[in-house]
Amino acid sequence: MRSGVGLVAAQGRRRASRPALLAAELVVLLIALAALAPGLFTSADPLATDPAAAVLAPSADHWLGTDQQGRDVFARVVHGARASLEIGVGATLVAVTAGVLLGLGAALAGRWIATPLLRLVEVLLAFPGILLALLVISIVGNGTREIALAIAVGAAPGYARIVRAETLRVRSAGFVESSIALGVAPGRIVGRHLLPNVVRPLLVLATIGLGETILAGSALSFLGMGPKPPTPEWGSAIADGRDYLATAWWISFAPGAAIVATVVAVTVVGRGWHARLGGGR
Amino acid sequence: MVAVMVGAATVAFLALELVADDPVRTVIGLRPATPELLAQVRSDLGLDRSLPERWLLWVGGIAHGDLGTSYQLQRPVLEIVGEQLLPTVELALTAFLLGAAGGTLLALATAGRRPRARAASGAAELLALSTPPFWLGIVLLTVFSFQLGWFPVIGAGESGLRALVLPAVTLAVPIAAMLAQVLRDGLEQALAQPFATTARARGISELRLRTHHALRHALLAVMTLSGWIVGSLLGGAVVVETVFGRQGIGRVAATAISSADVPTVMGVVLLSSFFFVVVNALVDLLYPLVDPRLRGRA
Repeated sequence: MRSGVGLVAAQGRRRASRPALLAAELVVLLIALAALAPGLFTSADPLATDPAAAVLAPSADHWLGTDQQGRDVFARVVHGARASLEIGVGATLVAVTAGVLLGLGAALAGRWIATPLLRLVEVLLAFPGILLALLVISIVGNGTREIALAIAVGAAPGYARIVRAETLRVRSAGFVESSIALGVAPGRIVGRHLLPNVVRPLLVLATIGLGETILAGSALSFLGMGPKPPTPEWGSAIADGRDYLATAWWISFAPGAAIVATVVAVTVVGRGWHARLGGGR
Repeated sequence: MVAVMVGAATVAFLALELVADDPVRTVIGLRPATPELLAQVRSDLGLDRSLPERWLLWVGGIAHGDLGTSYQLQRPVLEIVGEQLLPTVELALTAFLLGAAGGTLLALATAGRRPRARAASGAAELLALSTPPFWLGIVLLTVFSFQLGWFPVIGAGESGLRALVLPAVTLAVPIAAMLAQVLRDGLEQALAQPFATTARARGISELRLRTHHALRHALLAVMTLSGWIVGSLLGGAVVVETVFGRQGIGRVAATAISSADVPTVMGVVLLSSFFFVVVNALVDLLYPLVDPRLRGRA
Protein backbone atom coordinates (compact mmCIF):
# COMPACT_ATOMS: atom_id res chain seq x y z
CA MET A 1 0.00 0.00 0.00
CA ARG A 2 2.38 2.55 1.20
CA SER A 3 5.29 2.19 -1.15
CA GLY A 4 2.82 2.35 -4.01
CA VAL A 5 1.88 5.96 -3.36
CA GLY A 6 5.17 7.32 -4.53
CA LEU A 7 5.43 4.82 -7.36
CA VAL A 8 2.10 5.57 -8.92
CA ALA A 9 2.80 9.26 -8.56
CA ALA A 10 5.97 8.73 -10.54
CA GLN A 11 3.76 7.69 -13.41
CA GLY A 12 2.04 11.08 -13.31
CA ARG A 13 3.83 12.09 -16.47
CA ARG A 14 1.61 9.72 -18.38
CA ARG A 15 -1.31 12.04 -18.30
CA ALA A 16 -4.78 10.84 -19.15
CA SER A 17 -6.48 12.53 -22.08
CA ARG A 18 -9.11 15.14 -21.30
CA PRO A 19 -12.16 12.99 -22.10
CA ALA A 20 -10.74 10.10 -20.07
CA LEU A 21 -10.20 12.39 -17.10
CA LEU A 22 -13.73 13.78 -17.42
CA ALA A 23 -15.20 10.28 -17.63
CA ALA A 24 -13.23 9.24 -14.56
CA GLU A 25 -14.42 12.31 -12.65
CA LEU A 26 -17.98 11.41 -13.60
CA VAL A 27 -17.55 7.84 -12.34
CA VAL A 28 -16.10 9.10 -9.05
CA LEU A 29 -19.07 11.46 -8.73
CA LEU A 30 -21.56 8.64 -9.36
CA ILE A 31 -19.90 6.36 -6.82
CA ALA A 32 -19.84 9.15 -4.24
CA LEU A 33 -23.55 9.69 -4.92
CA ALA A 34 -24.20 5.98 -4.48
CA ALA A 35 -22.45 6.11 -1.12
CA LEU A 36 -24.37 9.18 0.04
CA ALA A 37 -27.80 8.52 -1.47
CA PRO A 38 -28.10 4.91 -2.71
CA GLY A 39 -31.86 5.41 -3.06
CA LEU A 40 -31.20 7.46 -6.20
CA PHE A 41 -30.02 4.37 -8.06
CA THR A 42 -32.17 1.55 -6.78
CA SER A 43 -35.38 1.19 -4.84
CA ALA A 44 -34.63 -2.43 -3.91
CA ASP A 45 -33.72 -3.17 -0.30
CA PRO A 46 -30.16 -4.59 -0.09
CA LEU A 47 -31.07 -6.56 3.05
CA ALA A 48 -34.42 -8.00 1.95
CA THR A 49 -34.05 -11.77 1.59
CA ASP A 50 -36.39 -13.82 -0.57
CA PRO A 51 -35.75 -17.59 -0.59
CA ALA A 52 -38.10 -18.01 -3.55
CA ALA A 53 -35.91 -15.72 -5.66
CA ALA A 54 -32.48 -17.09 -4.62
CA VAL A 55 -29.58 -17.34 -7.09
CA LEU A 56 -31.46 -15.87 -10.04
CA ALA A 57 -29.48 -14.95 -13.15
CA PRO A 58 -29.42 -11.29 -14.20
CA SER A 59 -32.75 -10.22 -15.66
CA ALA A 60 -34.93 -7.14 -16.10
CA ASP A 61 -36.20 -7.45 -12.53
CA HIS A 62 -32.78 -8.04 -11.00
CA TRP A 63 -30.22 -6.33 -13.23
CA LEU A 64 -27.30 -8.19 -11.71
CA GLY A 65 -29.26 -11.22 -10.49
CA THR A 66 -29.80 -12.27 -6.88
CA ASP A 67 -27.54 -13.96 -4.31
CA GLN A 68 -28.02 -17.18 -2.35
CA GLN A 69 -30.47 -15.47 -0.01
CA GLY A 70 -32.48 -13.88 -2.79
CA ARG A 71 -31.09 -10.40 -2.18
CA ASP A 72 -30.78 -8.11 -5.18
CA VAL A 73 -27.10 -8.01 -6.20
CA PHE A 74 -27.37 -4.59 -7.86
CA ALA A 75 -28.90 -3.09 -4.70
CA ARG A 76 -26.12 -4.63 -2.62
CA VAL A 77 -23.44 -3.27 -4.93
CA VAL A 78 -24.98 0.24 -4.83
CA HIS A 79 -25.45 0.18 -1.05
CA GLY A 80 -22.03 -1.42 -0.59
CA ALA A 81 -20.37 1.75 -1.91
CA ARG A 82 -20.84 3.41 1.46
CA ALA A 83 -18.92 0.92 3.62
CA SER A 84 -16.22 0.43 0.98
CA LEU A 85 -15.68 4.18 0.58
CA GLU A 86 -15.84 4.76 4.33
CA ILE A 87 -12.95 2.36 4.76
CA GLY A 88 -10.93 3.85 1.90
CA VAL A 89 -11.57 7.52 2.65
CA GLY A 90 -11.35 7.03 6.42
CA ALA A 91 -8.05 5.18 6.16
CA THR A 92 -6.61 7.80 3.81
CA LEU A 93 -7.67 10.71 6.04
CA VAL A 94 -6.20 9.10 9.15
CA ALA A 95 -3.02 8.12 7.29
CA VAL A 96 -2.51 11.61 5.84
CA THR A 97 -3.17 13.32 9.18
CA ALA A 98 -0.80 10.99 11.03
CA GLY A 99 1.71 11.32 8.20
CA VAL A 100 1.63 15.13 8.37
CA LEU A 101 2.11 15.15 12.14
CA LEU A 102 4.89 12.55 12.08
CA GLY A 103 6.57 14.13 9.07
CA LEU A 104 6.46 17.68 10.43
CA GLY A 105 7.70 16.44 13.79
CA ALA A 106 10.55 14.49 12.24
CA ALA A 107 11.55 17.49 10.12
CA LEU A 108 11.12 20.40 12.52
CA ALA A 109 11.25 19.22 16.14
CA GLY A 110 14.40 19.21 18.20
CA ARG A 111 16.77 16.30 17.91
CA TRP A 112 15.36 14.51 20.97
CA ILE A 113 11.92 14.28 19.40
CA ALA A 114 12.83 14.16 15.72
CA THR A 115 15.28 11.27 15.92
CA PRO A 116 12.93 8.82 17.67
CA LEU A 117 10.13 9.84 15.28
CA LEU A 118 12.36 9.23 12.31
CA ARG A 119 13.43 5.84 13.68
CA LEU A 120 9.78 4.93 14.27
CA VAL A 121 8.94 5.76 10.67
CA GLU A 122 11.91 3.72 9.44
CA VAL A 123 10.90 0.72 11.52
CA LEU A 124 7.29 0.91 10.33
CA LEU A 125 8.57 1.12 6.76
CA ALA A 126 10.36 -2.17 7.35
CA PHE A 127 6.98 -3.94 7.38
CA PRO A 128 5.08 -4.34 4.14
CA GLY A 129 1.97 -2.18 4.67
CA ILE A 130 -0.55 -4.99 4.29
CA LEU A 131 1.18 -7.02 7.01
CA LEU A 132 1.12 -4.06 9.36
CA ALA A 133 -2.60 -3.82 8.70
CA LEU A 134 -3.10 -7.53 9.45
CA LEU A 135 -1.15 -7.11 12.68
CA VAL A 136 -3.35 -4.20 13.77
CA ILE A 137 -6.50 -6.13 12.91
CA SER A 138 -5.39 -9.11 14.98
CA ILE A 139 -5.16 -6.73 17.93
CA VAL A 140 -8.13 -4.39 17.53
CA GLY A 141 -10.55 -6.89 15.99
CA ASN A 142 -12.92 -6.71 13.02
CA GLY A 143 -15.12 -3.93 11.72
CA THR A 144 -15.28 -0.97 9.34
CA ARG A 145 -13.43 1.43 11.63
CA GLU A 146 -10.91 -1.20 12.67
CA ILE A 147 -10.03 -1.95 9.03
CA ALA A 148 -9.69 1.76 8.26
CA LEU A 149 -7.38 2.20 11.23
CA ALA A 150 -5.33 -0.86 10.30
CA ILE A 151 -4.80 0.32 6.74
CA ALA A 152 -4.00 3.82 7.96
CA VAL A 153 -1.23 2.41 10.17
CA GLY A 154 0.19 0.68 7.12
CA ALA A 155 -0.03 3.77 4.92
CA ALA A 156 0.96 6.56 7.33
CA PRO A 157 4.74 5.93 7.33
CA GLY A 158 4.85 6.46 3.57
CA TYR A 159 3.11 9.80 3.89
CA ALA A 160 5.31 10.74 6.84
CA ARG A 161 8.40 10.18 4.73
CA ILE A 162 7.04 12.36 1.93
CA VAL A 163 5.96 15.12 4.35
CA ARG A 164 9.36 15.12 6.03
CA ALA A 165 11.23 15.40 2.73
CA GLU A 166 8.84 18.06 1.48
CA THR A 167 9.07 20.04 4.74
CA LEU A 168 12.85 20.00 4.66
CA ARG A 169 12.72 21.23 1.06
CA VAL A 170 10.27 24.06 1.77
CA ARG A 171 12.04 24.87 5.04
CA SER A 172 15.15 25.87 3.14
CA ALA A 173 13.23 27.89 0.53
CA GLY A 174 13.90 31.62 0.34
CA PHE A 175 10.50 32.75 1.54
CA VAL A 176 10.72 30.68 4.69
CA GLU A 177 14.26 31.79 5.43
CA SER A 178 13.21 35.43 5.03
CA SER A 179 10.15 34.92 7.28
CA ILE A 180 12.47 33.57 9.94
CA ALA A 181 14.81 36.51 9.45
CA LEU A 182 11.85 38.91 9.76
CA GLY A 183 11.03 37.34 13.12
CA VAL A 184 7.69 35.77 12.18
CA ALA A 185 6.46 33.44 14.93
CA PRO A 186 7.37 29.77 14.27
CA GLY A 187 3.75 28.64 14.60
CA ARG A 188 2.71 31.15 11.97
CA ILE A 189 5.46 30.04 9.62
CA VAL A 190 4.34 26.43 9.91
CA GLY A 191 0.67 27.32 9.50
CA ARG A 192 0.93 29.91 6.74
CA HIS A 193 4.00 28.88 4.77
CA LEU A 194 5.00 25.30 5.41
CA LEU A 195 1.71 23.44 5.70
CA PRO A 196 0.03 24.80 2.55
CA ASN A 197 3.09 23.99 0.46
CA VAL A 198 3.44 20.53 1.95
CA VAL A 199 -0.21 19.55 2.02
CA ARG A 200 -1.15 20.58 -1.50
CA PRO A 201 0.98 17.98 -3.30
CA LEU A 202 0.14 15.52 -0.54
CA LEU A 203 -3.59 15.77 -1.17
CA VAL A 204 -3.07 14.84 -4.79
CA LEU A 205 -0.93 11.87 -3.76
CA ALA A 206 -3.65 10.91 -1.30
CA THR A 207 -6.18 10.80 -4.15
CA ILE A 208 -3.99 8.26 -5.91
CA GLY A 209 -3.39 6.49 -2.59
CA LEU A 210 -7.15 6.30 -2.05
CA GLY A 211 -7.37 3.69 -4.80
CA GLU A 212 -4.83 1.57 -2.95
CA THR A 213 -6.60 1.88 0.40
CA ILE A 214 -9.90 0.87 -1.21
CA LEU A 215 -8.16 -2.21 -2.65
CA ALA A 216 -6.56 -3.07 0.69
CA GLY A 217 -9.85 -2.53 2.53
CA SER A 218 -11.73 -4.82 0.18
CA ALA A 219 -9.05 -7.50 0.63
CA LEU A 220 -9.33 -7.38 4.42
CA SER A 221 -13.08 -7.47 4.38
CA PHE A 222 -12.96 -10.31 1.85
CA LEU A 223 -11.00 -12.22 4.50
CA GLY A 224 -13.91 -11.61 6.87
CA MET A 225 -12.40 -8.76 8.86
CA GLY A 226 -14.78 -6.05 7.71
CA PRO A 227 -18.27 -4.88 8.73
CA LYS A 228 -20.49 -7.62 10.12
CA PRO A 229 -22.94 -9.27 7.75
CA PRO A 230 -25.49 -8.48 6.46
CA THR A 231 -24.04 -4.97 5.95
CA PRO A 232 -23.39 -4.70 2.20
CA GLU A 233 -19.70 -4.23 1.41
CA TRP A 234 -17.89 -5.06 -1.82
CA GLY A 235 -15.10 -7.23 -0.43
CA SER A 236 -17.38 -9.33 1.76
CA ALA A 237 -19.92 -9.57 -1.08
CA ILE A 238 -17.23 -11.22 -3.21
CA ALA A 239 -16.59 -13.68 -0.39
CA ASP A 240 -20.35 -14.38 -0.21
CA GLY A 241 -20.39 -15.58 -3.80
CA ARG A 242 -17.32 -17.81 -3.50
CA ASP A 243 -19.29 -20.99 -2.96
CA TYR A 244 -21.46 -20.34 -5.99
CA LEU A 245 -18.82 -19.71 -8.63
CA ALA A 246 -19.78 -22.75 -10.68
CA THR A 247 -23.47 -21.84 -10.90
CA ALA A 248 -23.90 -18.14 -10.04
CA TRP A 249 -20.76 -16.24 -11.02
CA TRP A 250 -22.59 -12.88 -10.92
CA ILE A 251 -22.72 -12.77 -7.10
CA SER A 252 -18.94 -12.39 -6.87
CA PHE A 253 -18.43 -10.75 -10.23
CA ALA A 254 -20.55 -7.61 -9.77
CA PRO A 255 -18.99 -6.23 -6.57
CA GLY A 256 -15.51 -6.95 -7.94
CA ALA A 257 -16.28 -4.99 -11.07
CA ALA A 258 -17.45 -2.13 -8.84
CA ILE A 259 -14.11 -2.16 -7.02
CA VAL A 260 -12.16 -2.17 -10.27
CA ALA A 261 -14.23 0.70 -11.70
CA THR A 262 -13.81 2.75 -8.53
CA VAL A 263 -10.07 2.22 -8.25
CA VAL A 264 -9.45 2.93 -11.95
CA ALA A 265 -11.54 6.11 -11.80
CA VAL A 266 -9.93 7.36 -8.59
CA THR A 267 -6.44 6.65 -9.93
CA VAL A 268 -7.09 8.40 -13.27
CA VAL A 269 -8.52 11.42 -11.43
CA GLY A 270 -5.56 11.48 -9.05
CA ARG A 271 -3.05 11.27 -11.90
CA GLY A 272 -4.93 13.94 -13.83
CA TRP A 273 -4.86 16.34 -10.90
CA HIS A 274 -1.23 15.47 -10.27
CA ALA A 275 -0.39 16.42 -13.85
CA ARG A 276 -2.44 19.61 -13.54
CA LEU A 277 -0.49 20.60 -10.45
CA GLY A 278 2.68 20.49 -12.48
CA GLY A 279 3.56 16.80 -12.53
CA GLY A 280 5.43 16.31 -9.30
CA ARG A 281 8.49 17.99 -8.00
CA MET B 1 19.62 -3.22 9.31
CA VAL B 2 19.99 -4.93 12.69
CA ALA B 3 18.62 -1.78 14.33
CA VAL B 4 15.57 -1.90 12.09
CA MET B 5 15.01 -5.55 12.96
CA VAL B 6 15.27 -4.87 16.69
CA GLY B 7 12.86 -1.97 16.19
CA ALA B 8 10.44 -4.22 14.34
CA ALA B 9 10.69 -6.80 17.10
CA THR B 10 9.99 -4.07 19.64
CA VAL B 11 6.90 -2.92 17.76
CA ALA B 12 5.76 -6.54 17.72
CA PHE B 13 6.52 -6.84 21.43
CA LEU B 14 4.48 -3.75 22.30
CA ALA B 15 1.62 -5.02 20.17
CA LEU B 16 1.69 -8.31 22.07
CA GLU B 17 1.69 -6.40 25.36
CA LEU B 18 -1.46 -4.58 24.29
CA VAL B 19 -3.36 -7.85 24.15
CA ALA B 20 -1.61 -9.46 27.12
CA ASP B 21 -4.87 -10.11 28.93
CA ASP B 22 -6.44 -12.14 26.19
CA PRO B 23 -3.78 -14.87 25.83
CA VAL B 24 -4.42 -16.03 29.39
CA ARG B 25 -8.05 -16.46 28.50
CA THR B 26 -7.23 -18.15 25.18
CA VAL B 27 -4.89 -20.63 26.84
CA ILE B 28 -7.32 -21.42 29.66
CA GLY B 29 -10.14 -21.91 27.23
CA LEU B 30 -13.08 -23.66 28.86
CA ARG B 31 -11.31 -24.76 32.04
CA PRO B 32 -12.53 -23.05 35.23
CA ALA B 33 -10.38 -19.94 35.83
CA THR B 34 -9.18 -20.59 39.40
CA PRO B 35 -6.63 -18.13 40.81
CA GLU B 36 -3.96 -20.87 40.87
CA LEU B 37 -4.52 -21.75 37.24
CA LEU B 38 -4.47 -18.04 36.28
CA ALA B 39 -1.15 -17.56 38.11
CA GLN B 40 0.23 -20.74 36.54
CA VAL B 41 -0.66 -19.64 33.02
CA ARG B 42 0.62 -16.12 33.63
CA SER B 43 4.00 -17.45 34.74
CA ASP B 44 4.07 -19.95 31.85
CA LEU B 45 3.58 -17.05 29.48
CA GLY B 46 6.14 -14.99 31.41
CA LEU B 47 3.59 -12.33 32.19
CA ASP B 48 4.66 -12.13 35.84
CA ARG B 49 7.99 -10.53 34.97
CA SER B 50 8.67 -6.81 34.55
CA LEU B 51 8.25 -5.12 31.19
CA PRO B 52 11.96 -4.52 30.40
CA GLU B 53 12.71 -8.09 31.46
CA ARG B 54 10.09 -9.46 29.08
CA TRP B 55 11.39 -7.22 26.31
CA LEU B 56 14.91 -8.60 26.74
CA LEU B 57 13.59 -12.17 26.77
CA TRP B 58 11.51 -11.54 23.66
CA VAL B 59 14.26 -9.90 21.61
CA GLY B 60 16.80 -12.45 22.83
CA GLY B 61 14.42 -15.25 21.94
CA ILE B 62 13.97 -13.90 18.43
CA ALA B 63 17.73 -13.71 17.99
CA HIS B 64 17.74 -17.45 18.75
CA GLY B 65 14.87 -18.13 16.40
CA ASP B 66 12.24 -18.35 19.13
CA LEU B 67 9.12 -16.56 17.99
CA GLY B 68 6.92 -17.59 20.89
CA THR B 69 4.10 -20.09 21.11
CA SER B 70 0.83 -20.07 19.23
CA TYR B 71 -2.11 -19.52 21.58
CA GLN B 72 -4.32 -21.57 19.36
CA LEU B 73 -2.20 -24.60 18.55
CA GLN B 74 0.09 -24.54 21.62
CA ARG B 75 3.12 -25.12 19.44
CA PRO B 76 6.18 -22.99 18.65
CA VAL B 77 5.32 -20.40 16.02
CA LEU B 78 8.57 -21.03 14.18
CA GLU B 79 7.62 -24.70 13.72
CA ILE B 80 4.17 -23.85 12.37
CA VAL B 81 5.56 -21.25 9.99
CA GLY B 82 8.41 -23.53 8.96
CA GLU B 83 6.03 -26.30 7.92
CA GLN B 84 4.02 -23.95 5.76
CA LEU B 85 6.90 -22.04 4.25
CA LEU B 86 7.55 -24.23 1.23
CA PRO B 87 4.19 -23.89 -0.57
CA THR B 88 4.32 -20.11 -0.15
CA VAL B 89 7.89 -19.84 -1.39
CA GLU B 90 6.97 -22.01 -4.37
CA LEU B 91 3.96 -19.82 -5.13
CA ALA B 92 5.76 -16.51 -4.64
CA LEU B 93 8.79 -17.55 -6.66
CA THR B 94 6.70 -18.81 -9.58
CA ALA B 95 4.58 -15.67 -9.48
CA PHE B 96 7.65 -13.45 -9.38
CA LEU B 97 9.26 -15.20 -12.37
CA LEU B 98 6.02 -15.06 -14.34
CA GLY B 99 5.50 -11.41 -13.46
CA ALA B 100 9.07 -10.45 -14.25
CA ALA B 101 8.99 -12.25 -17.60
CA GLY B 102 5.60 -10.80 -18.55
CA GLY B 103 6.45 -7.26 -17.48
CA THR B 104 9.82 -7.31 -19.26
CA LEU B 105 8.37 -8.62 -22.51
CA LEU B 106 5.56 -6.08 -22.42
CA ALA B 107 7.94 -3.20 -21.76
CA LEU B 108 10.43 -4.31 -24.43
CA ALA B 109 7.63 -4.64 -26.95
CA THR B 110 5.91 -1.32 -26.28
CA ALA B 111 8.64 1.14 -25.23
CA GLY B 112 8.90 3.98 -27.70
CA ARG B 113 6.54 2.33 -30.14
CA ARG B 114 3.36 3.67 -31.66
CA PRO B 115 1.27 5.78 -29.27
CA ARG B 116 -1.71 3.49 -29.68
CA ALA B 117 0.16 0.37 -28.55
CA ARG B 118 1.54 2.24 -25.56
CA ALA B 119 -1.87 3.62 -24.63
CA ALA B 120 -3.46 0.17 -24.85
CA SER B 121 -0.71 -1.35 -22.76
CA GLY B 122 -0.95 1.53 -20.27
CA ALA B 123 -4.69 1.03 -19.92
CA ALA B 124 -4.24 -2.71 -19.40
CA GLU B 125 -1.62 -2.03 -16.71
CA LEU B 126 -3.89 0.43 -14.90
CA LEU B 127 -6.69 -2.11 -15.02
CA ALA B 128 -4.43 -4.86 -13.69
CA LEU B 129 -3.20 -2.69 -10.82
CA SER B 130 -6.76 -1.67 -9.94
CA THR B 131 -8.04 -5.23 -9.72
CA PRO B 132 -8.16 -6.85 -6.29
CA PRO B 133 -6.01 -10.01 -6.55
CA PHE B 134 -8.55 -12.13 -4.70
CA TRP B 135 -11.23 -11.15 -7.18
CA LEU B 136 -8.95 -11.81 -10.14
CA GLY B 137 -8.34 -15.24 -8.62
CA ILE B 138 -12.07 -15.84 -8.37
CA VAL B 139 -12.65 -14.76 -11.96
CA LEU B 140 -9.84 -17.07 -13.15
CA LEU B 141 -11.28 -19.92 -11.08
CA THR B 142 -14.73 -19.34 -12.55
CA VAL B 143 -13.52 -19.25 -16.13
CA PHE B 144 -10.72 -21.83 -16.20
CA SER B 145 -11.70 -24.27 -13.47
CA PHE B 146 -15.49 -24.18 -13.39
CA GLN B 147 -16.37 -23.29 -16.98
CA LEU B 148 -13.49 -24.76 -18.97
CA GLY B 149 -12.29 -27.32 -16.45
CA TRP B 150 -8.62 -26.85 -17.41
CA PHE B 151 -7.30 -26.58 -13.87
CA PRO B 152 -8.22 -28.30 -10.59
CA VAL B 153 -10.61 -26.35 -8.38
CA ILE B 154 -8.98 -26.90 -5.03
CA GLY B 155 -5.44 -26.36 -4.00
CA ALA B 156 -2.04 -27.94 -4.06
CA GLY B 157 -1.27 -31.56 -3.35
CA GLU B 158 -3.65 -32.99 -5.93
CA SER B 159 -1.66 -32.26 -9.04
CA GLY B 160 1.15 -29.98 -7.93
CA LEU B 161 2.13 -28.05 -11.00
CA ARG B 162 -1.30 -27.66 -12.51
CA ALA B 163 -2.70 -26.44 -9.21
CA LEU B 164 0.04 -23.84 -9.09
CA VAL B 165 -0.84 -22.15 -12.40
CA LEU B 166 -3.89 -20.08 -11.50
CA PRO B 167 -2.68 -18.84 -8.09
CA ALA B 168 0.70 -17.90 -9.56
CA VAL B 169 -0.90 -16.07 -12.50
CA THR B 170 -3.18 -14.21 -10.08
CA LEU B 171 -0.20 -12.99 -8.08
CA ALA B 172 1.89 -12.27 -11.17
CA VAL B 173 -0.56 -9.97 -12.94
CA PRO B 174 -0.14 -6.85 -10.77
CA ILE B 175 3.64 -7.42 -10.64
CA ALA B 176 3.88 -7.67 -14.41
CA ALA B 177 1.80 -4.50 -14.77
CA MET B 178 3.88 -2.48 -12.32
CA LEU B 179 7.15 -3.75 -13.81
CA ALA B 180 6.00 -2.99 -17.34
CA GLN B 181 5.14 0.60 -16.40
CA VAL B 182 8.42 1.35 -14.67
CA LEU B 183 10.55 -0.59 -17.12
CA ARG B 184 9.00 1.12 -20.13
CA ASP B 185 9.69 4.54 -18.65
CA GLY B 186 13.27 3.48 -18.01
CA LEU B 187 13.68 2.02 -21.51
CA GLU B 188 12.30 5.12 -23.15
CA GLN B 189 14.68 7.32 -21.21
CA ALA B 190 17.59 5.08 -22.15
CA LEU B 191 16.59 4.93 -25.82
CA ALA B 192 16.54 8.75 -25.94
CA GLN B 193 20.19 8.92 -24.82
CA PRO B 194 23.01 9.69 -27.25
CA PHE B 195 24.49 6.20 -26.77
CA ALA B 196 21.35 4.70 -28.27
CA THR B 197 21.71 6.91 -31.34
CA THR B 198 25.38 5.93 -31.62
CA ALA B 199 24.55 2.25 -31.37
CA ARG B 200 21.85 2.61 -34.03
CA ALA B 201 24.27 4.48 -36.28
CA ARG B 202 26.64 1.52 -35.99
CA GLY B 203 23.88 -0.59 -37.46
CA ILE B 204 22.85 -2.54 -34.39
CA SER B 205 19.50 -4.25 -34.63
CA GLU B 206 16.65 -2.63 -32.70
CA LEU B 207 16.09 -5.80 -30.66
CA ARG B 208 19.75 -6.05 -29.68
CA LEU B 209 19.81 -2.35 -28.77
CA ARG B 210 16.89 -2.88 -26.46
CA THR B 211 17.99 -6.12 -24.82
CA HIS B 212 21.73 -5.47 -24.62
CA HIS B 213 22.00 -1.73 -24.06
CA ALA B 214 18.80 -0.07 -22.90
CA LEU B 215 17.51 -2.85 -20.64
CA ARG B 216 20.43 -2.58 -18.25
CA HIS B 217 19.75 1.13 -17.74
CA ALA B 218 16.08 0.52 -17.17
CA LEU B 219 16.87 -2.22 -14.63
CA LEU B 220 18.02 0.42 -12.15
CA ALA B 221 14.55 1.93 -11.98
CA VAL B 222 13.07 -1.54 -11.57
CA MET B 223 15.32 -2.41 -8.66
CA THR B 224 13.80 0.36 -6.58
CA LEU B 225 10.55 -1.58 -6.98
CA SER B 226 11.87 -4.60 -5.09
CA GLY B 227 10.25 -3.50 -1.84
CA TRP B 228 6.90 -3.06 -3.51
CA ILE B 229 7.18 -6.45 -5.20
CA VAL B 230 8.03 -8.32 -2.00
CA GLY B 231 5.18 -6.59 -0.17
CA SER B 232 2.81 -7.39 -2.99
CA LEU B 233 3.85 -11.07 -3.01
CA LEU B 234 3.51 -11.46 0.75
CA GLY B 235 0.22 -9.58 1.05
CA GLY B 236 -1.06 -11.28 -2.08
CA ALA B 237 -0.18 -14.70 -0.67
CA VAL B 238 -2.58 -14.15 2.23
CA VAL B 239 -5.61 -13.62 0.01
CA VAL B 240 -4.60 -15.86 -2.90
CA GLU B 241 -3.93 -18.85 -0.64
CA THR B 242 -7.35 -18.31 0.90
CA VAL B 243 -9.09 -18.04 -2.47
CA PHE B 244 -7.46 -21.15 -3.89
CA GLY B 245 -7.53 -23.13 -0.64
CA ARG B 246 -3.75 -23.57 -0.74
CA GLN B 247 -1.45 -24.31 2.17
CA GLY B 248 1.06 -21.65 3.14
CA ILE B 249 2.05 -18.99 5.61
CA GLY B 250 -0.46 -16.53 4.18
CA ARG B 251 -3.23 -18.96 5.07
CA VAL B 252 -1.67 -19.48 8.50
CA ALA B 253 -1.75 -15.70 9.03
CA ALA B 254 -5.34 -15.36 7.84
CA THR B 255 -6.52 -18.18 10.13
CA ALA B 256 -4.51 -16.88 13.07
CA ILE B 257 -6.05 -13.44 12.70
CA SER B 258 -9.57 -14.74 12.73
CA SER B 259 -8.84 -16.67 15.93
CA ALA B 260 -6.95 -13.73 17.51
CA ASP B 261 -3.78 -15.85 17.73
CA VAL B 262 -1.48 -12.84 17.98
CA PRO B 263 1.90 -14.63 18.44
CA THR B 264 1.36 -16.53 15.19
CA VAL B 265 0.37 -13.38 13.29
CA MET B 266 3.37 -11.69 14.81
CA GLY B 267 5.66 -14.53 13.81
CA VAL B 268 4.55 -14.35 10.18
CA VAL B 269 4.81 -10.56 10.15
CA LEU B 270 8.25 -10.56 11.75
CA LEU B 271 9.63 -13.21 9.42
CA SER B 272 8.18 -11.32 6.45
CA SER B 273 9.69 -8.05 7.53
CA PHE B 274 13.00 -9.79 8.09
CA PHE B 275 12.82 -11.17 4.57
CA PHE B 276 11.80 -7.72 3.31
CA VAL B 277 14.82 -6.06 4.96
CA VAL B 278 17.18 -8.73 3.63
CA VAL B 279 15.88 -8.37 0.08
CA ASN B 280 16.25 -4.60 0.24
CA ALA B 281 19.82 -4.98 1.50
CA LEU B 282 20.63 -7.48 -1.27
CA VAL B 283 19.21 -5.13 -3.88
CA ASP B 284 21.41 -2.35 -2.54
CA LEU B 285 24.39 -4.66 -3.04
CA LEU B 286 23.27 -5.39 -6.59
CA TYR B 287 23.23 -1.75 -7.72
CA PRO B 288 26.97 -1.54 -8.46
CA LEU B 289 26.81 -4.83 -10.36
CA VAL B 290 24.14 -3.48 -12.68
CA ASP B 291 25.56 0.03 -12.93
CA PRO B 292 29.36 0.23 -13.22
CA ARG B 293 29.15 3.98 -12.62
CA LEU B 294 28.26 3.24 -8.99
CA ARG B 295 31.33 1.05 -8.46
CA GLY B 296 34.10 2.27 -6.21
CA ARG B 297 31.92 5.04 -4.94
CA ALA B 298 30.76 3.33 -1.79
